[in-house]
Amino acid sequence: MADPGLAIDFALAGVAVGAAAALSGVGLVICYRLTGVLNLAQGGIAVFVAYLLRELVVVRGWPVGWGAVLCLLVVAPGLGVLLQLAVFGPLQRRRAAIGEVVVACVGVLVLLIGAVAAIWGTAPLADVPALVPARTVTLPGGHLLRVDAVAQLGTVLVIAVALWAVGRWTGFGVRARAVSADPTLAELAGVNAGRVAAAGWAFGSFTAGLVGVLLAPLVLLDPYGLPLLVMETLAVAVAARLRSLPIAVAVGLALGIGQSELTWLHPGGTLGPLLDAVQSNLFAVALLVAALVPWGFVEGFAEQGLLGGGGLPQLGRPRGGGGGAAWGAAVCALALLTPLALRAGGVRAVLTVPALALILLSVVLVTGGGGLVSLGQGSFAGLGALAAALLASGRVPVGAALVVTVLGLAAAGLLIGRPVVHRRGLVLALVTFALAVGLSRFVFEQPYATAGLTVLRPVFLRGDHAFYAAELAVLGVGALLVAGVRRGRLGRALVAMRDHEAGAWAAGVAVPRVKLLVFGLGAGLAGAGGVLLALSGEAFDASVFDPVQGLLWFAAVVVAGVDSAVGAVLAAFALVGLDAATVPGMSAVVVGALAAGAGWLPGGLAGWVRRVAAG
Amino acid sequence: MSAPTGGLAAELRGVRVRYGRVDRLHGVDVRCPNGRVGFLVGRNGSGRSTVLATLAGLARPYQGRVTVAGRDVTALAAHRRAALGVVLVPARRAVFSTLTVAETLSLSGPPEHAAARFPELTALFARRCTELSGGQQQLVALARALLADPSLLLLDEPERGLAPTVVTRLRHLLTDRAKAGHAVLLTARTLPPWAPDDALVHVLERGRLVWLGEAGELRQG
Repeated sequence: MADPGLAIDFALAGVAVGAAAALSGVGLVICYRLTGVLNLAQGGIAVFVAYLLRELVVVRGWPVGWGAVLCLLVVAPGLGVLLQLAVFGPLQRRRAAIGEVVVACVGVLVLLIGAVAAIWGTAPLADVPALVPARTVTLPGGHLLRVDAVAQLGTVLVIAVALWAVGRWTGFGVRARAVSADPTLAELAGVNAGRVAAAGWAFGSFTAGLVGVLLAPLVLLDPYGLPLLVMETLAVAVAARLRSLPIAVAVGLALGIGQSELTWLHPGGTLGPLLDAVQSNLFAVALLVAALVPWGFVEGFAEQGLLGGGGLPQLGRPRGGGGGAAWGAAVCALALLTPLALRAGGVRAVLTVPALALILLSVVLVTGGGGLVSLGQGSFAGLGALAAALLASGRVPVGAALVVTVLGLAAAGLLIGRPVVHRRGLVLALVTFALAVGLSRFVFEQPYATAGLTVLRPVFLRGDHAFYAAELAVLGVGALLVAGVRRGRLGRALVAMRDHEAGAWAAGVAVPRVKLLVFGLGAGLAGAGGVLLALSGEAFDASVFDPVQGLLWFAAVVVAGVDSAVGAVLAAFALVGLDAATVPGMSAVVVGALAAGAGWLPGGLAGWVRRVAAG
Repeated sequence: MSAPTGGLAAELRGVRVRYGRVDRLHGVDVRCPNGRVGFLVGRNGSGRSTVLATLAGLARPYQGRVTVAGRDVTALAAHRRAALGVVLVPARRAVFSTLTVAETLSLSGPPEHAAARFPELTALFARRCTELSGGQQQLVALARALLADPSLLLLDEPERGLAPTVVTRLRHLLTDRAKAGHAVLLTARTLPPWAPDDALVHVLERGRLVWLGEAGELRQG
């Protein structure tokens, strides 16, 4: 174990992954600096380009070189420019809030993954072409060096140095940096900020595609695994504070090599499984750490997205009194009560709807009410489901299990929320996403946490009708809670905080306490939803609480109208109904398309309905 | 109207602008004749900055027309208007935080030309704009705008934070630009004493134009 030669061999083996991660970080940093958008859709672009290259080379028999030129230099940048023109340009022109931009990214991600699954199927593929053949050269001292790793490392360094030189010494570089510092001022100085952003997206898509093509031969290619792998390399860009290229390169390489070295350590004993989990998910750990470390001073354009403002533009009260709201609530109640009149099979199909509605309602409370962009509500639901499973396995009465879980999760929300809630804007979104990734990787997917769990409904809820009625009762309590929070003193404090945080401080609102309260209540609501979700399926299914699924739920709420409780309930119906009526995954494609079109639909569907109603 | 538009660098006609649900300009007419200094005078909230933003293309009117040199530019983006010679220096945050002074100036032309006009800039060329004092930042912003040689220069409270000697030089520069046939439009709370008698003064009140005339008339009346 103390053989230094072995350490070098492992380091060399880690260079391939490290170079890809560094490249991903460089792409994210440049794209962010030129467009102001953290490219959460990177994983989708990567997997799309990787599949396209395989299609051209393996299925159509193109030479790898020509395929790579078409995929990386034509298709990927073209996709980037298209994204700027159709998705992000309109958002920028109306100065959309950070939450809307996040949602548009999620929409693009989901759409691209959906497209890949629809075109090429979901079966994992092993016959992926490599850009550089995986030959090895023997170094003096007997160490094996992979040619492809060296080529990747060289590519990363050349790209980083070239970017630095362009930024420093060319007119375009200076104009791009001007846009990065202040897009409005740059426009006044005659710089076409839209064109700079298009260049940023073209480059971001190019690197995303390259990362996908480089990583694909190292893993089995399937539509869901690769995107998550690429998204975990967000850690690199976050560690670089979305600004510094040298740090991005260094962190990417360090993580790749570090991951490789950890395989070599491989301790036994009780800590073994945990350390194995850390090793295989080192990038998730890094994302969590990098997001939680305080951000310090961020200057320029970055400041507006990262620290500025919060959530999403609010719909406000509908004009003409509460008539519209009453109608919406009536439609909701009717939709929710109808299944009680159906036969057993019909109820079974919608059993997850109230549970999902509770989770979506927690997003309405936290993001719509409190203005906190939290991407982690899905994992609170997962914790709830897990707790329900643990308690139910211990034969605790279900009502008690629900109460204990909800209280426990509210407490957990307060605890987790403490280091989180004073973050704002994109940083908060990142921290909560990192939490979701961490919980998913280290709890939900690990056998030590989830093996041997059984979830059984108690006898009096065994029937679907009875259980559905019980779900409705819990949802009703949740809805009353949300309505109560948004009314009265606390509601006014929330609105003040959401609209102008400094002003709320000045007006005597205890901002951290209010935020923490909302965060804890949201966690409790989501947890209740998770309990019901586990009970409805009578199983704990980790894939339901995947971080990407959480992103999809967040996007669904925003598409429906972020401060509309009615919208959340109807969105739950739509998500479940679309998948049941067509093919699984259809809801993701629809939500993705609508979310990607967020630039054209301010206020979501609820906003659109209100505008139509107002004439 | 038979008034030749060739004499106008830019014009707003019946412009209404809305930020959110609040109307900021209620049908305003503003004229920027070539060869004269113009003033937008009014209290805070009277709409002075919104008029400048509308001329520069940062604010889009929902009614009314914006013309530059007789051409309708109502739908034209800000960077295209800058290319047509309409250059705005905002009142605050008018420099790029991550660029050096030389890089900022190079956005509009060779930095040495600006140094000829403002020699004190030469020593600052390698410094980042955020390392400068407020007055120095304002000077950099003004120097960059003048370097673009705009046909219409829009300045929002340009004298804020400037040293008195620089203010005097700036006033001369502006009147000289007007004499050379260019248009200049400034905002101010009250009409400054140095304003030439033939300066065109727009007095704004709560988003409406309440008085239009020459500085000399305003002083007499």
